[in-house]
Amino acid sequence: METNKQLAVALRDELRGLRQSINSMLVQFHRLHSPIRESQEKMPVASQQLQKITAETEAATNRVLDMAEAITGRESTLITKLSALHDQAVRLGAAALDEEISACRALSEQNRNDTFAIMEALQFQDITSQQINHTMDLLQDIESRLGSLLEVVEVDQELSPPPDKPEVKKQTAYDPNAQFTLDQTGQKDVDSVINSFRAKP
Amino acid sequence: MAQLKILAVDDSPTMRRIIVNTLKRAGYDDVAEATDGKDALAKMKVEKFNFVITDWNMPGMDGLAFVQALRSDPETKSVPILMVTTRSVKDDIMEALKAGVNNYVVKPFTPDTIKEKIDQVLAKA
Repeated sequence: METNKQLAVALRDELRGLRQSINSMLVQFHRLHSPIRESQEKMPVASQQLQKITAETEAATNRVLDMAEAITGRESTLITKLSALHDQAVRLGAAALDEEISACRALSEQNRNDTFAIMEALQFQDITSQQINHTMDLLQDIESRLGSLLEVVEVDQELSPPPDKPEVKKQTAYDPNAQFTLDQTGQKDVDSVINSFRAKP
Repeated sequence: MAQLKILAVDDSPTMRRIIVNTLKRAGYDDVAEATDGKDALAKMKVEKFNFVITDWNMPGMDGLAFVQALRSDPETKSVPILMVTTRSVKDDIMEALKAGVNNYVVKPFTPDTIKEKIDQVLAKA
């Protein structure tokens, strides 16, 4: 009889302790709710900002390309006209004039080559947009996981409406490892792989 | 200069412009564009291209699937293909070669590299 009483007291104390632990956990969950909700709501904003960066850099790149194409077009015309003048100068035996014309043509060719180099450098836009798309996917993944966490912590709260869904991202494909380096080390490594592949019997 | 009719395939409009300008600089003026593998296949049914330059990472039909589709069609199985992509790991290069690309260029590329690789592909064709 005495033993049963002792057991009941012990059990009651254990249950009290368990209730206190559960209450304490619930308090912690309630505290977590707001920060998780806030973080989840900020993710779509961050994604939209990144999309805006991609759109704006693409627009700026296209403006630079417009100018570069116009310059190379004019330089090509200039080179053609200077070549015609050079031919005339040679026919007329005007060596001094021919020298000046050749110098002008060389400058024009340099301008055209440098403008083409500007166009090549603009490849950065494609590569950075791939890196940004990768980041956006990571953010969406985090947002989804935060949503799952919220489901756990909203145990005894009225479920608040989920945040507005972000506008559907246009379908993109990207290389998460895309890098922008202007040296040709990467291409040399690729050529080695190709040569090894072809050398196999 | 051999008369090539090139199809340049890339989902990035900026990159397509850069490729077209690079090809013009190398002396190739007859260049058409496609936005992904599906668009490229549709264009190849309408016009005869004798050289293809394609990206890999594209939404819808990606470059690898496009190459495999070309190689499995008797009409296009022999068209020279140059892959131009940011992917530079060995496994990817091997996968592309096994799928049937003739050569492979990593971005960012130089015009000299594009010209060199086109010449190498044509020399073996």
